[in-house]
Amino acid sequence: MERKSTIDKDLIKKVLGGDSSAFETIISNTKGLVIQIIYKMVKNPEDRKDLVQEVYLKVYDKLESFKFNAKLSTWIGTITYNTCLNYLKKKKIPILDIDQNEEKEVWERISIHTFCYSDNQTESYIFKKERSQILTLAIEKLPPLYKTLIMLYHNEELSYSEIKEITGLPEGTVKNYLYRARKKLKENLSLHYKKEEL
Amino acid sequence: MKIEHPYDKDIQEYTFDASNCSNEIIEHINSCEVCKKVSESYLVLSRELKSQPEPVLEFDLSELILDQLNFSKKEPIYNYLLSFIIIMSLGITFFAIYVFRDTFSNIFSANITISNYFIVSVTIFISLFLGLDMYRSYYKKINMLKY
Ligand SMILES: [Zn+2]
Repeated sequence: MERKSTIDKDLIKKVLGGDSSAFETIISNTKGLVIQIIYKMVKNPEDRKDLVQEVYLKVYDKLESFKFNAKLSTWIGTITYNTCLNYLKKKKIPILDIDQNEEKEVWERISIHTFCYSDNQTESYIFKKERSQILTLAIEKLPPLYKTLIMLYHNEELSYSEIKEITGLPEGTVKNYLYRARKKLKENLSLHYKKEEL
Repeated sequence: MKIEHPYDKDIQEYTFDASNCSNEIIEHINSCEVCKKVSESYLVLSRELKSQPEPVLEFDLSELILDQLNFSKKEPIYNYLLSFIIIMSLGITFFAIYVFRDTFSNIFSANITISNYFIVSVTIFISLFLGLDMYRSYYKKINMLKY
């Protein structure tokens, strides 16, 4: 962490001194996270392209005000999340349209009939590829906030406190939304596999 | 014996956050085949999420951004040069004022000639023009960054 912060400091100093290759390094170190957040929050391909540019122009503009309270990547993640949030607000797209039943469902007791998503070790490569596509479709059906939280936790492997930093949501809320998001994702998958069984 | 399984939320906590899970729930899940299966299914989901391919851009992001930011590698040297020129000109100006202090005191005394008027007004005009131009280009650059 200490070393990482020194590297961040060094990069920022170089960028502020006019070194474009240092900014290029910042882009290549953080673009994975930035693109993931934008792709989970925004569907339109043209708007995604505009937003990714907007994010890095903002990063460049605000770089001088970066206070090192967080990792540079987390700070850039926050800028990305807020930029997407503004976009969704402008387009009047809800970030989360909570179903009345959802709250209840997380508090439903497990029963024998609970859908269990399992993998079969003997399955072929093609089947695995197909499963990955089914999972992508199931993720797509989630509201933007759930998709983003799932990706930050499971793909980017960020800690709860980092997710809290990026989204501005309290840690308890992050955990609760993650419970609902995984449950909903499993339900979307169960709908698909049940349909296939019929 | 009536078995009451925990909530889905508890099983997720057991699966991803065991340290926050109560002993009662841990004991139940460890000894219950149904709950264990649900927990395992969340682990499978987590594993498959992790192996999902990351989205890739079809364009060169760095190139696109750097083009818009108009980075100039010469910028730091250019900045030093500019500061050097400004300091030098100020130095020369003050030196000149010192050397020609007698002449200057004449300018501001009663003997104002047409040529003195001319020099002063042209100087003011040029400074105003340069100042305005600098302000305009600064404003334009800031606006470009603010988007
Ligand atoms: Zn049980």
